[in-house]
Amino acid sequence: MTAPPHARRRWRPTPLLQATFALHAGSLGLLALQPGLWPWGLGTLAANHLILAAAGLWPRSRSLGPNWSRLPATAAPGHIAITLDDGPDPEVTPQVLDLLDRYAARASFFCIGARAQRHPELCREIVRRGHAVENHGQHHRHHFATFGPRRMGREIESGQDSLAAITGQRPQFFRPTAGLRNAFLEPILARHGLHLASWTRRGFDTRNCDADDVTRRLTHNLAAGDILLLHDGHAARTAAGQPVILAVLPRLLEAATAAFILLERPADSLNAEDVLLLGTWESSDAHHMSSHHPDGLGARMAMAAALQAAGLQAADIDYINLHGTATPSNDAAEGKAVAALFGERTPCSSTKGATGHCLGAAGGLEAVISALALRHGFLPGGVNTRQVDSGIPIQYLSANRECAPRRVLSNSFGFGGTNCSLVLGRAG
Amino acid sequence: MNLTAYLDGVGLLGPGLDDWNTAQPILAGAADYVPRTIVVPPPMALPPAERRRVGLAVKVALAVAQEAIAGAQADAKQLASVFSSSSADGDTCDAICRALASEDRHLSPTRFHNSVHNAPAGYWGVASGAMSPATVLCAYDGSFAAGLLEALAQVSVDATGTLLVTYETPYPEPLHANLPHPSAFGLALALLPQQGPHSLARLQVELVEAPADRLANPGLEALRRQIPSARGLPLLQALASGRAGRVVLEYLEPLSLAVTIQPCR
Repeated sequence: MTAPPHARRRWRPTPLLQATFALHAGSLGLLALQPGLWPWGLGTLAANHLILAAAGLWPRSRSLGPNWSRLPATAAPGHIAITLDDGPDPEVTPQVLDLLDRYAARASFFCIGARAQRHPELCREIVRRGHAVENHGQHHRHHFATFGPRRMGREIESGQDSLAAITGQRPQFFRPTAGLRNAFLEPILARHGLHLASWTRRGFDTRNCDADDVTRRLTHNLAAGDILLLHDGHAARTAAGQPVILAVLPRLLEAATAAFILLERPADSLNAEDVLLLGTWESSDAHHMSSHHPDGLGARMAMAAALQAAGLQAADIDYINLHGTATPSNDAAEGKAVAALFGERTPCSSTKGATGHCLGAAGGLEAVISALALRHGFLPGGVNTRQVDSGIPIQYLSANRECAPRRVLSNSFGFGGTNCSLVLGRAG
Repeated sequence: MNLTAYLDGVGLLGPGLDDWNTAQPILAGAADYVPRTIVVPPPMALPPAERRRVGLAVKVALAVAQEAIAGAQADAKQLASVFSSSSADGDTCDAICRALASEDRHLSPTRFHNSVHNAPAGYWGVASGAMSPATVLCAYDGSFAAGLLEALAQVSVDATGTLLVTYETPYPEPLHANLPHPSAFGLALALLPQQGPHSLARLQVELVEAPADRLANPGLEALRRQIPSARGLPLLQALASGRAGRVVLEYLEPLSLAVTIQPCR
């Protein structure tokens, strides 16, 4: 989750606040002209303050100022935002970081300033692994919403200062304790160039011990643009004593996997960056249900026939997106098949290190990655591959490479010895 | 595009329908239909270790696939395949649901790989040695027509012989109460691009908006109505009668699949 660059924002009172000012001025005027009507003026003001308080106690309301309860349509289309509150926690946060790494996901950690000062190294580790540290207040006081403007300002400012001193980056977002606040908050945030962040869905994982229920609350009707609230600090424990978030996070990240591809007939005139499906083939190993042919015979047939269907030679392929599950025997079989057809001249990688094995969605997802590589001119490296198997004689990419591939091949294999290869290419 | 193929072989297995040869007089109305519990032969073409691991769905699918190939006297290695099923392997689905709902959520690897929708296609490759393309479909009650449409598209577009295998198994309770398939059932067709010495009929399909044909025999009609792969029985009945004709098979509302049948003999 990222916001526009840091700058003081101009505070603009919302319609509710403008009405509040008008009401106060009106009541004063009334008191001056008709002092006898004071109970009416007082009653109106009391009702007004009740409404203001209610708006502050409704975490997702926008009537006190701008509030991110979903990602804006312009920010990262197709993404969901994972936000984690109340950390860092020396027991839970490192495990959360490992889980996020495994799924190559980036999250926003809303840290409590005082806790961050107790675990500064952990806080720096969050940033080092590519996540954002945001401001959840210096002390996480539960009566934050009753603070006056001075105390509220100090709480936010010292949170900003302690987190910036530790990580070297000033937070861009603020989230009050439990999302509760009052009308004084927005002018303070505007002064610091901060944005108020609430959430779209939460699972109440500080007191709900049922990981199934937390997952259901977070994933039911999950949609692109949603902001999810979880807790790495103050995490509830499951019956087995495991922090709930650690049971929920893998299921959440797997639930966020799907691929849908619409094929159309090519238009009469194409743009250069349009991606075409040039050839496909599917073969069966006729060998074993769950282990591939040891020499990757079926995989080799699928790749060769897909090339033939596309009317291309092996040398025409600029990049291969491998099935590459990191199962040693399967990778060896695919490696042999690739080496037999392409030798070491074609760069290839598996992107499952970035996405995880998305099972039924993997083939579609990797076709999309291949299409993105063609459109944007890069070859995706195999994220998290630290040691390349030296027995597989192919040109394996461990890091992204800037280049402009014109044609790529994507492999996806499955149980039953099913092998599918797609050849995609740029229109121009 | 004209979707046409020559039908060279039929495989059939259902309750009271032991194979295509003995079923023909029953379907043509020359013999009585007597519903009996289905008898499924063991898949002898699989290596013994695999043979022990497979469930009812794979056995039914392989039995009808082999019968259709034998009838066509075709080389299975030369044919692409299309497998279509609404429920696929009900027993494995149930066993996995039970395991996941239990305390010990451990699943056996064999259960896991048998749970994929392309399991019969994988076993067919192992049994027949065919390394040709296999397509696997599921379209609920329209699964037979979806498979036939896909197979004829492959025959017509790729000019390659294609084996269509449709099959169902009943679910155990509690799923059975919600989707009561009364029996396992399998129906396979060997479809070829050119007429040959074994061709039984020329088939041509088109999508129409018309009600599906029913069968006059109440026992057979009950099968057709209750088992998605038995939705193809009107086609087999027309073939068994040996006359040219047109049948309408249930597909997905509001579409049906009309099949025009021109006997070759």
